[in-house]
Amino acid sequence: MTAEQNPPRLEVHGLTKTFGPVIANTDVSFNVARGEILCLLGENGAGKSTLSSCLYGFYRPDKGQILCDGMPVSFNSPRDAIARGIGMVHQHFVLVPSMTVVENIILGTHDHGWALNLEKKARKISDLCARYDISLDLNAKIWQLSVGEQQWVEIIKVLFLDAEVLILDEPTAVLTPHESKKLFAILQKMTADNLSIILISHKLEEVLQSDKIVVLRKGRIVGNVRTVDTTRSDLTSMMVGRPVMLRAERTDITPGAPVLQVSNLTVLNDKGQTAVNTMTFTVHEHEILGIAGVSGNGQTELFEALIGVRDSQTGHIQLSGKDLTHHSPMDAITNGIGYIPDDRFRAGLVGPFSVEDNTILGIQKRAEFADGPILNRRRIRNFARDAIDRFGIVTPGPQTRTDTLSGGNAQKVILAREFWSATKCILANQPTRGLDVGIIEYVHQILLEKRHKGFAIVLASEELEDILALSDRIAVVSKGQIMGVFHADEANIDQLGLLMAGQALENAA
Amino acid sequence: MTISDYRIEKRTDVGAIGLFMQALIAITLAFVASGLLLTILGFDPVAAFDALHKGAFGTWRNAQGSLIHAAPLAFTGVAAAVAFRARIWSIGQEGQFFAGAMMAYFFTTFLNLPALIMVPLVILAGALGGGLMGGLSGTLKTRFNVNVVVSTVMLNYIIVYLLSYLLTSRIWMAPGEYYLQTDRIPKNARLPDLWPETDLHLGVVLAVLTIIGLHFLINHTTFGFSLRAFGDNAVAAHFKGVAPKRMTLIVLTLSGALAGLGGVVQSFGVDFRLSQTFLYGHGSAGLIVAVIAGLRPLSIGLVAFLFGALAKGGLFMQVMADISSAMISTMQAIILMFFLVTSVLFQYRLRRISQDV
Amino acid sequence: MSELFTQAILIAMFAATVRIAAPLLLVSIGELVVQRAGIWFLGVEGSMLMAAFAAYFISVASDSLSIGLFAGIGMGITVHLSMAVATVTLKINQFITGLGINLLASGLTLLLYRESLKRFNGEVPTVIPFETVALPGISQIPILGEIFFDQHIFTYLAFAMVGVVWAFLYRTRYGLEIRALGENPKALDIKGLSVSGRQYAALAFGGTMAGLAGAVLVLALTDRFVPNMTNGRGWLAIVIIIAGNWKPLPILVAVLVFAFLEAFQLQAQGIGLDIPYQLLLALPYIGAIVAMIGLQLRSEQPAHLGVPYHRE
Repeated sequence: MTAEQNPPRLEVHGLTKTFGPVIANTDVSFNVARGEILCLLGENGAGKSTLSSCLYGFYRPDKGQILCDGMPVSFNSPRDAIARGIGMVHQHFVLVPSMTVVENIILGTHDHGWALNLEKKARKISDLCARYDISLDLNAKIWQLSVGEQQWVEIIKVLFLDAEVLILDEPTAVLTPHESKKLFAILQKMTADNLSIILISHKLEEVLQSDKIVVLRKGRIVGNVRTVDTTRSDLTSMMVGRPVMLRAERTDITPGAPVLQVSNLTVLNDKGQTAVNTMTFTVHEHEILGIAGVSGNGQTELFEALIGVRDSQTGHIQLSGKDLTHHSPMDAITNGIGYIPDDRFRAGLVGPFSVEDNTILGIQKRAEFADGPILNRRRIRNFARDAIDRFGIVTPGPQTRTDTLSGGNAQKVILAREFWSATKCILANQPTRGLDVGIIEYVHQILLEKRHKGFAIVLASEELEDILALSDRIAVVSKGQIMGVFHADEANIDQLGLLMAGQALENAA
Repeated sequence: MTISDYRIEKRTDVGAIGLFMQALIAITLAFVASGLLLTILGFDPVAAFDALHKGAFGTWRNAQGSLIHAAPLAFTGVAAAVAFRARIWSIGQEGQFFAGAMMAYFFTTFLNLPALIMVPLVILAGALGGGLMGGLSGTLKTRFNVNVVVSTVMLNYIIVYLLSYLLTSRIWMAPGEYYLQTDRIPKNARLPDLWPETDLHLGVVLAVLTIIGLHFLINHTTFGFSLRAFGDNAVAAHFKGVAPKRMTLIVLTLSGALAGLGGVVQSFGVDFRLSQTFLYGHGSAGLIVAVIAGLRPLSIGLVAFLFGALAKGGLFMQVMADISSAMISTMQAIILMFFLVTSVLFQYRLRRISQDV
Repeated sequence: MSELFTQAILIAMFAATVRIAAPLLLVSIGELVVQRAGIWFLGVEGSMLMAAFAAYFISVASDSLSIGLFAGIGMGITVHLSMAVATVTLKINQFITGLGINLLASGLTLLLYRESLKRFNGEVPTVIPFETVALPGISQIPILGEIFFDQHIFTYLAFAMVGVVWAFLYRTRYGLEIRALGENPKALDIKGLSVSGRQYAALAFGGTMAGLAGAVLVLALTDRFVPNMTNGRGWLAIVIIIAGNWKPLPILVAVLVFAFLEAFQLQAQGIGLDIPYQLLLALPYIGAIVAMIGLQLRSEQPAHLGVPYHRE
């Protein structure tokens, strides 16, 4: 092949990067040729993001070499990387929501003079969109676009800079299955145009669409294979370092009485648009209702309305027959609703607080922790010590600042608190986002335990596999509406995918 | 082989001792800088600081004076600290200080009761005046989403004009009075002295009690817990039952009431009159006190005493060395600036890292 | 009341509005660029005050208005750049640093003013202020000419700056970048463009404008320095930016409203209207609160305003 005659488009030799005592990458070497898709596979914290940041000039590697077309290069800033034809699509969008698509794409491109030359640049953007079969309203503001469309903007942004090597960090995390397919069609076109792709992912079905796979574990390369020569199970055990039981054991239990009843609920988002549109559903004792859908389709607003931090426009919320509509978060807590948020350090924990203070956040007024208005430190500390033991929270002690904890341990602090205070219902919004496989298994297991004990559980996740593994029933949401509800054993991924993309099914139950 | 390497690391928490060291260094540097400033202005800094020191601590009586000057600053200091701990950027302490003094004075214009009733009444009136001012900013924020910085600054200007009006219109000014100031406050409304032949008055005791009370409130009660949670992460606090509007209103009212108490302590304990010049500057000084004390009530007591000494010594310095009293407010601001800069240095520490190669 | 509204008085009042608007407009436009770049700078009041003092002191010492003018601008830039060092480089809290600058400025100018008065034996030296420049031709237009075209050169400059800054923000690459800074600085950082460099530049521009505004106060609108003479104009600039929803043209309107309130106050005091003069003096501040209640548009507030940028 051409790679034999020409040097690879991008090559990495012995790259090492540390942050203080933390080693992010050790002796990493690989290469990617023109027209090739290379996949970097690894768990959270395996060092994929640091590696890509080094390739993009965001960080300087401590050791090792990066070569472009066989020439050693040294990147002091992303500008140097861009000049060498390297572009990056970040995992979290880096867009300016209040600006238009064109403005976002041309932002920071330095070609000529002071003038913006919007029209000339819009033409180049339209050409790029046409070549890759992407349709975008160039004068729309970013906040008006769907999440999928924003991802196309990110890709065009990189192509606009004439990138020849594209690094995409978890690009499908926010896409519907349909959009993901389209993304891979675009990537195929790019490789046909001789562009090189470095795809960062932890999803096996995507990884298998690449040409080469580099598996990272704890910052080291543990596998470097051609995709045709490998299998799913090989990749999984390489990635995790041990065989994994991805499916949690779920015993059959007959659901009991209805616990959480939501009828005709309509909720607005911050911009005053309808985010949740006349949703109706019921969750019973011993039941997990999975909410399947791409994030940004009203899940956050739904959960916020159920907790009481966001008021509803119409509809009712009932808990065990008691009307809770227009309730406050304190009502939700005292009535036995627990909440596990997706963004732990935003909605679940007070970062500068100690672990012990976070274990009683929201329940500090209970007689267990306070004598009248005065906190009882001794009882709080004993409670926190007990939580640390039971949930296996790794921390120097109950008085450690919570924001020094790892994501998994921080999540366990929330679990300890919510499972103590919740008596009837648990709302879990992406409870495993950003966690390692080990902790994911733990969270799944503990949710099933609570189901067994009779809790009604609402679980939202972007990972269809999670939903399928845990739920008794699955509600698919798109644009704030429930598109269909299935029993878990009746659901199939294709059907769910279509509904997630907003297409109504004739036979949707 | 072991290689030792030094690395600069960021710390998560400076701690009380670190903060103390930092304040000490900042104050030292500020004195050096102020000495330079005095030299440039043609003064002898050694003589000036000597006068400052004598004025503040030279005699037992002077030290008492420093305490008396510290009392109002302790109030405006905790007022600022309560708001800032909740991350509510109120700069209204100055105006609320005026409002407290004015409300208390208002009560003396139509009530004349025995001291036993009158004194508690004017103290409560001060809290009421400041609390109303703070509550107004709170209402403007929660009902109309008016930026707290903007509303508190504007109210600071407005209340000063209100006092000026009450004086020039002679509603609160005796006929024939030349200076812009109220009549003397009747004896039965004044804060009593602690013992005969001292100027230490009830307000100093009130300040100490308030500081201890606030320390307890913030650190050991469920309300303080909610307040700190709200300040450190308002979103999470909201999810866990702290209603943001209610908390904003309570914090601003409480902060205002504390500043208002300071106004009473100053005018009913020291000046026995109201005038713009007597009341001026206590809000901004209290704000600096709060920041340097790391927003911790007990430390505020300490820093307020230091600033009280600075104010007391400043008067002596003015008399002895003919240095304008503006030097003191300048020094306060210089201390703040050095404190902010040193806070950056204290965020980092040098750590030795040993590595096996 | 009727005598307040004779034509001559109205024209004088509107001309005064335009004249008074100049420093407020300059400082507001400068602060607009600073805030668009994501810096919540509350120290404009102090920066302007320091600039006013420097302009006054240096022009008296050098006996030259233009040297004084440049000294004022230089002081404005110096104070603004110290904000840049503290908050952009050292990442110190923007709110506290801004307040600190105000307190330092108010103490220091008062101290220096009093100490320099001693040198002048208590007699306040004055400057001979800049003259107004009647624009040939158009200043002869009845009414409009009197109101708009017989003003200080700084007034023309201030009004022109509204257009210049509008064109800069919305029609140039660098303007786009400044706007992006206040919304999402990471969008620039990932393209390898310096966030802090641009924030320094924005503050330097803000300093130029605040310095000019301070100098105009002493060298054109009056003839001397008075302690705390900025009297809340820097704070009003912050109100004006919120009221103007972070957009140049609405900011111009807001400036004119506040300038009119001040002109009205001067006029009303001049004729001895039977209203407490304190109420007139408080009008801009009361107006500011009323404006904040009435205007609830916040759509253009930079999302990243006041948040220091850390690369994670």
